[in-house]
Amino acid sequence: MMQSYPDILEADGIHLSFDGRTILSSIYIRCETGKVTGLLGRNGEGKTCLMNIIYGRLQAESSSVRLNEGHLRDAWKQPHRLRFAPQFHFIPAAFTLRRVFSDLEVNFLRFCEFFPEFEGCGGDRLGSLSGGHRRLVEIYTILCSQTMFVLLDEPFSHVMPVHVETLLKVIRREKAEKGILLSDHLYREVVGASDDLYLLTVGHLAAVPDAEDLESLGYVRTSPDVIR
Amino acid sequence: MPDLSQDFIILVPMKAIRSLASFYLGFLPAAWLLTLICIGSFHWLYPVYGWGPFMYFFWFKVLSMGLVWYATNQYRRQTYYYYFNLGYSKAFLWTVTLGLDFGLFIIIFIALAP
Repeated sequence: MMQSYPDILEADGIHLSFDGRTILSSIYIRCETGKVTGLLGRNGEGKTCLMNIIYGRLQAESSSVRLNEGHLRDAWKQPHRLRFAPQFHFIPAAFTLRRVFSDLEVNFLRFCEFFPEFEGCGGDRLGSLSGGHRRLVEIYTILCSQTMFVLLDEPFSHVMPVHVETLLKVIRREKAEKGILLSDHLYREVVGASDDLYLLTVGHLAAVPDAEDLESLGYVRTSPDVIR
Repeated sequence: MPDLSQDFIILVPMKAIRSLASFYLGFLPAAWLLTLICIGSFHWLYPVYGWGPFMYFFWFKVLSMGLVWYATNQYRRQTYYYYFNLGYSKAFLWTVTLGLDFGLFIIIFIALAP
């Protein structure tokens, strides 16, 4: 029987500074299909910058992004390999839900099974939705699109707790088919969903083998109760 | 297994056309208002100056499209990420839509020439 190996997305040697202030230094991060990789860090530590560098939208002073050991340049030009949901509303407000699901080739009916309140809303424009619902559509469509890896930057922002729980279920389902890099300040949820965890602090990225270490690393005051 | 290659050939350009049309619609009112102002002004000035002012309107249109580009990058730059996720670059979106808009500007100018 042939063994299937996971696809591996790696970024290393990343160095980024603004006006002489080092934001990222000697960063190495690795994501695999079949796994959720959590990225934690305080505000301004460079999580979004790191995602943008991997996505190819931010030029670092040095960086090497690789997919299965092959150089991955301008990953954003290859949506079948990598997609990115940034932390702001990025889908034009004038677009209807049906249009967005069609563009990204995501099943709208399946979405309604997870979020029944959207049934019959296919013709609604994104601009007519609440901020939380709009965010939910943006995250879900990127997360469930046909791609190898997804980068989710603060996917739970503005999303109500019940929907966060459902999104976590979707993440667990989707990781069977792709690799997910997840960053959010709801660290309990991130820790609970992640197979591998990294903490970005003072420009350096440290692998966190155990969630308990977040306390000793100074990210949290008490060890997180993991939500699974 | 069904042969989907024919569908693929049709669907991929259709998605690109739909994305370009949506992107163009974002600044179409401003672009067409400027085009109509140029044509109206040209027709008003034509009896006195003939084709002389055409070059002024030409460069006015060029500059105004630069302003449209600037305003979009200032106020709607976040939506670029939607198009990136579909594999379309800024250069592709702007080259095609501005090229189309400018082509239409010239065609309308010539078609409605006195």
